[in-house]
Amino acid sequence: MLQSEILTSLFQEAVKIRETEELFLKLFSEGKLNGTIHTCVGQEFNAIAVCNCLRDNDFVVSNHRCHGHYLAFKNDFSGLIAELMGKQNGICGGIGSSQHLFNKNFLSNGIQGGIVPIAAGISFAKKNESKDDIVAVFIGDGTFGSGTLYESLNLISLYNLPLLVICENNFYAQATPLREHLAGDIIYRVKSFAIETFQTDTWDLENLIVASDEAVSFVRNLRKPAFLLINTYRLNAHSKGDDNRDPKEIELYKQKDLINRYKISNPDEYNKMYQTAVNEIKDIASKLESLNTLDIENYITKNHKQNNIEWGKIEYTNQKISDRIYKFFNDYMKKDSKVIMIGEDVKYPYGGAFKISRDLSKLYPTQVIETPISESAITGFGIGLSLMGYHPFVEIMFGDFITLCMDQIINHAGKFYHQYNKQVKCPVVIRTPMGGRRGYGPTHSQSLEKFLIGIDNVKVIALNTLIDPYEIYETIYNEYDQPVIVIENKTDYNKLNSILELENYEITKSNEKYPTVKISPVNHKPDLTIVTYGGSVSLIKKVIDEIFYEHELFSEVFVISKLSPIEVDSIIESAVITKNLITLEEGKLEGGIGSEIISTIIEKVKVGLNIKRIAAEMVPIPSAAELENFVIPNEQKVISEISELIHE
Amino acid sequence: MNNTIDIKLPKDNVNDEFVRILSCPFNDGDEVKQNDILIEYETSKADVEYASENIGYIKYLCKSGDEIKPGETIIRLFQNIDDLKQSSMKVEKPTKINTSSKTRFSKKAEKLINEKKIPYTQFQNFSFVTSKDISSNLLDNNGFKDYDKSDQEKLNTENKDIFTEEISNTKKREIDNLRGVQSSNLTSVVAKSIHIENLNNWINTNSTALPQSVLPLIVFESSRLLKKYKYLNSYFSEDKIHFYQYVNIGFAIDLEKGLKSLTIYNADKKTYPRVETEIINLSEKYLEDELTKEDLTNSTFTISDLTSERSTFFIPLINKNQSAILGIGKTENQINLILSFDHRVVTGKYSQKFLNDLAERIEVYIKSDLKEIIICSKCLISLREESKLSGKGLIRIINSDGKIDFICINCLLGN
Repeated sequence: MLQSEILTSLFQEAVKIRETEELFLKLFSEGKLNGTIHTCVGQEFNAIAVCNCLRDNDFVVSNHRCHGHYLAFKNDFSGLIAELMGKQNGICGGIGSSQHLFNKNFLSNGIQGGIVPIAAGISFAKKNESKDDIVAVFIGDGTFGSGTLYESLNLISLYNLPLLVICENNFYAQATPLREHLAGDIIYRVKSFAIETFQTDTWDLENLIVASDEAVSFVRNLRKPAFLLINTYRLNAHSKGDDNRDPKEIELYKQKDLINRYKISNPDEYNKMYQTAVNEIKDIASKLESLNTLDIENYITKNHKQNNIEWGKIEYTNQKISDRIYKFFNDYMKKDSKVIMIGEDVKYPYGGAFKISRDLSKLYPTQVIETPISESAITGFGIGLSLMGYHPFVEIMFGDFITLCMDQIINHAGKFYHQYNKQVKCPVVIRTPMGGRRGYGPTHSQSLEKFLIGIDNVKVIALNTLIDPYEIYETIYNEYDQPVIVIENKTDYNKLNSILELENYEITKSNEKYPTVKISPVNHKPDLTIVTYGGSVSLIKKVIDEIFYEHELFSEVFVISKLSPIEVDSIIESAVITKNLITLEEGKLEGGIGSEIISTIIEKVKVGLNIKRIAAEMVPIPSAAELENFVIPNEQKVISEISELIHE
Repeated sequence: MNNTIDIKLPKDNVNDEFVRILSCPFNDGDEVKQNDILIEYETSKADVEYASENIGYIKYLCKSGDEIKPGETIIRLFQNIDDLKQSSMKVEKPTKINTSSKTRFSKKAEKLINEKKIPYTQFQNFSFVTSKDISSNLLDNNGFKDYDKSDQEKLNTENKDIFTEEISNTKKREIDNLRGVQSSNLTSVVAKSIHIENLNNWINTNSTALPQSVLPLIVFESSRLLKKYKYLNSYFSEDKIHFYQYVNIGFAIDLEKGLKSLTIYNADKKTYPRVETEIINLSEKYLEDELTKEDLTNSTFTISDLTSERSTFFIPLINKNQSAILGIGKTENQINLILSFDHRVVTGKYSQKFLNDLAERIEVYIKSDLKEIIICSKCLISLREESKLSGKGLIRIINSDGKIDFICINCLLGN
């Protein structure tokens, strides 16, 4: 039996949470809340039971229905109410609101399953740094539809992470009942990952408390993952207004609800609790009413623009690109134990599909994590690590597989800085080789960087053979402020970082952080401006030589390193002089990098330009050599397309 | 290296991003004095000769045909010949990286070189050689030197009755300017005469300063007509016709200071008195050697008035970057309008129409009976009526608004 003081305080907490949720519903109906809310009315005790076992250094990760978890863990009513009222002193300045909260060791986001690998990453850091701290992540029954969850459970078990997964099974995934969205059984699923399971429900309070304590202690003491299933029920709709459940069923659970029963069994205590809670909450709300929303200038950060571009000599290492990348990791893993490489098949002796990681796992065993084939989860895992002050470098084996990471990149890594009102940075680095010309066929030859540009707060860098990749990675390491995606090139790996043998052309690089290389004809005004990046550099020599030979035209070529956000200051001057702007990429034409480069330049330039985008055909890349050579721009194609532009 | 002077390409014309080197008259190592022309280059506005401000031994850091950005160092003057010799051993341009000495020829250049049998060694200092480099640097447009130099030299030395005078750079530039359109051999001429008995009267009465000159009127009227006859306000280049969006009339002047064309900007937008004033001002600047580059360039159409020399008829030559030129000749009571035009741009019919239109407009001035138009500002009597009365005519005055007006003697005397 629980002692009455404990009971009272539990109920007090639960009532306060419930009344906060009721306040939100009221504010919403009064039009004072922008957006929607997913209330946890009926599930309050789940949060209280688990969070009462947690400590200040633990970390809680939650989902769209996170109010109860937040209030139980952080006891920050004022911050949450301000947040939902859109005030600037809300937890996230009113930006994240209901589903997107962050406060030091509490994080929630609105994508089902997306948070779980991030929680895993955070718990990996905890495992390294502490004997006691754990991570708790709350999911629902609906989350068992998400592939990322299964990927994450696999990782969690494989790496033996001190992570507690709490599933609040309220028998509905939004409007779909359990029996219609979940085949089989939840516990059996989890057991199949060799994760310890615990089970309880909301309505037996004592059992709930005991089970939560057991589960938390298991994780904390044994430093192993566990799963706690809490059968529960939400008394309100999924969000607002959309409740098609059988009213009889809802009524049944309303009567089962502990607070409602307490109302009947202990009316006086209840009323006291109710009054106290309501007064406190009303007080908070009324004080907040008059406060301001966040200033827009504090939200939108303008990109720092480089004004004075200077061109200088390039130092070539004349070493293989792959050697230089390996050297970066070797040097920096030695210097900094928080540099972590995460990827598939990266361990020695295999050393990675393109032999970049080589023997790093032998030299730095705690810093190389070999993963199962789980692109989505390993990206989330890297994100979690980056939130904890690590330098994770996630290797996605083929650029074609980046599609599996899109949710983590777009809805997690790219968003955290802004949606949490700049409380966190997410400096995860994802490296992946793109490009064809090896006959690997449609799903192993693509250049998908065009889908990665223009994502809020994410930098995209493309390596090329003219700039030492070591320098690029060093800059990324030192900047440590944003998610970065590095596009490497398969066929460049074995090429040397060396000069382009071009008669009578001057090759210099800009003083930008991610340098642009400029190839200019000596003492001649250029007639064409060509902008390219990455692997397409290999075509440049023959193309510009032939353009001169056949057409007596001089080309000035710019090889950019940073694809996103695009900066065109170094290119504009040339475009204005030549009035002919050509972009060259290995990716497919429509919506490509060339489109973005050209639009950005044309917006800034006051004169009209002749433009041409040269890119791959809009079909999957075939494996047969002649066909591949036709689909991906080759020298002949580039020359003939430029010739067409000239003759128009 | 204290004794070297670096000469940078001046930023003459702020709009030019690149400037073309035309000639480097000296050889590396030659001694040069002050005022020697060290280098000639072509900007978008004019050809410029750079005169030395110092003495020294010259070394070029560029060559003919190069396109250089203003501000770059193009010449180095050494005070000590040994320093110059030593510098040849070092890398010449520290800012230029990755240059190679191997010359790259274009396909057309190769073809021309093979056809004309030009030795490749002539281009050894060039980084790139295009067909333009060959035609403009070495040969004239026909691809040959059009006289055998050695024969001419022989003639000079044998016959002592022949006095040789070197043509000035200005003349060379004039030739080069005129060569532009005329070398196409596709120019032609149309003409039109206008009787101008009464015109003289009009000119005398309306013009403020220029006596007897029909030029301002023709500038005034033809500039407006050129808005309609766009093809005469254009130029031919590389199979395209480039239309000017503005009308700048250049008028030829050849008094003591050589033949020049002075530009009246946006003549079509200027009033008649303003046109007159500008012609006068520009002519004064010409006489006083105060012309600026802007005065001498940018014209879109030229008018050459030889009525003062009483030329009956002449064929004016079309200037570079234009497609027509209007000459004015004179016979006793008529002026002859002569239009040379580029047949690649317009036909005789079109050009004649322009002249006819122009003649019509001028004739309006003649036909308008001035005697009707001029009236006393007080009693409104017309000149014609007055001439029937006292025949004393009207007096021209400046009225209280500062404008030119007329008054009859009666009103003046207060009758």
